[in-house]
Amino acid sequence: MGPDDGATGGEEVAIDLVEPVAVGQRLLVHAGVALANLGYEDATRSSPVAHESSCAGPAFADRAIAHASLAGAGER
Amino acid sequence: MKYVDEFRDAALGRAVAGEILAAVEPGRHYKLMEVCGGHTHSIYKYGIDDLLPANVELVHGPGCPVCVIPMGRVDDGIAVAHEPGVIFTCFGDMLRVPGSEGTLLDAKAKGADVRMVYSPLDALRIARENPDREVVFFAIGFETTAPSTALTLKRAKGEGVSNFSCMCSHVTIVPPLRALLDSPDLRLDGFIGPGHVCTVVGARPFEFIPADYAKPLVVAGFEPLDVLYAVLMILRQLGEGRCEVENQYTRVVPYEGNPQALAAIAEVFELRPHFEWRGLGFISQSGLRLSDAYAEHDAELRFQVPGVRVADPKACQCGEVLKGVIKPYECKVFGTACTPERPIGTCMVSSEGACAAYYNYGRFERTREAV
Repeated sequence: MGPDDGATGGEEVAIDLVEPVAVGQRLLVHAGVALANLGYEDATRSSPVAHESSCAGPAFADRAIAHASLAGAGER
Repeated sequence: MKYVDEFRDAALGRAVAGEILAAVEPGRHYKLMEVCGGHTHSIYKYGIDDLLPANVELVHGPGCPVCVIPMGRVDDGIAVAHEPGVIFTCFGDMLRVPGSEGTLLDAKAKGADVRMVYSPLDALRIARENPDREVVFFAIGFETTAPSTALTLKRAKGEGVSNFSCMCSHVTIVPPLRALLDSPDLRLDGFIGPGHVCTVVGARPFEFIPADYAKPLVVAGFEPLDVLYAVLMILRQLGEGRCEVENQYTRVVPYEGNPQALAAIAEVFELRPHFEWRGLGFISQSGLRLSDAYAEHDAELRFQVPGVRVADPKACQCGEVLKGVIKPYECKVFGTACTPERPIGTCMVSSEGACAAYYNYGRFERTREAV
């Protein structure tokens, strides 16, 4: 089990399937279990941030990049 | 909100919609099926179909885990819930699915100890806290949810929580897709692949769709731009004469899936010879049961389960809705006898169900222009 983030009222999440997990990494959680480690919310940030578990994607630098990144085609 | 707004950007959405318009071959009718309840919900919630030309039709497949559970299986759960000393746990939407003689909520009202949980791990906690009671978890869901049940059973076994058992109704997505593709009454041009399932199984298991049936599939995320872009990618494939599995949801889905989750599923479950799906009938090797190594935690071995097959109510057309043969509003009881408050069929129960999504967001149909 991962630590309960009491400061933000976060829920307890099992991280067995995505270990190792570091503080600040974002997890895709379903039914109380982390299924994917989405990495750090900002790749340029090295300092730890509050533990967070949600299912969202990486931030895009700008819309032009976003438009290209929406496809993801070719990446397998 | 960060990480969400980027995928709900209206200007970008209009741009993608414009590209879809350009990619559509005039006069051709496109029928694309999504097989994930999350996509169905997103499509109606954000009005994605309103951004598409009328000749690009989105049809909704058997992607809602609650909707595909047959009535007999609900009756089985209710029978176990009424066993003396049992605490019966399940996800919230399952509580309202009608069996032949009521729902699990009705069973609770009649005295059964039925409790809603958010995770199978919550059910295991209840078992630890109540060592003198039998705690049963009614496990439903596709490959997305199966790892959490598998992990919980591994924990229960490891910790020796002998009063915890699981009534496994997990299903797998590939066999019903093959059944749909073999169905003569459904013509499809492509698939929007189930992003969450693919988080676990990857995109590779869907390669049979282009290989054997010559249809494209694009794995998609759940924000409006994800779905729109997946539609565009399918249309581009069709326009260019390509037919492949592509992954739009690369920020979450690895092409090979999550090997740890797959290993947990393989250890804890095995395929049933066949499993009944609402509307689709029995499909071979489409359901999971506990493997011999976890038989001690199998509620179906621990309790008497009726296992009786129950026909759907005649008025209910969930079967046709789940196969994409009719739209929710074409069902005879949609919005009248069957509403989210008083559902007759499963598709009106869960927020992922096509009928509930359409009832909540799309009752007031708007017209679209064909290209």
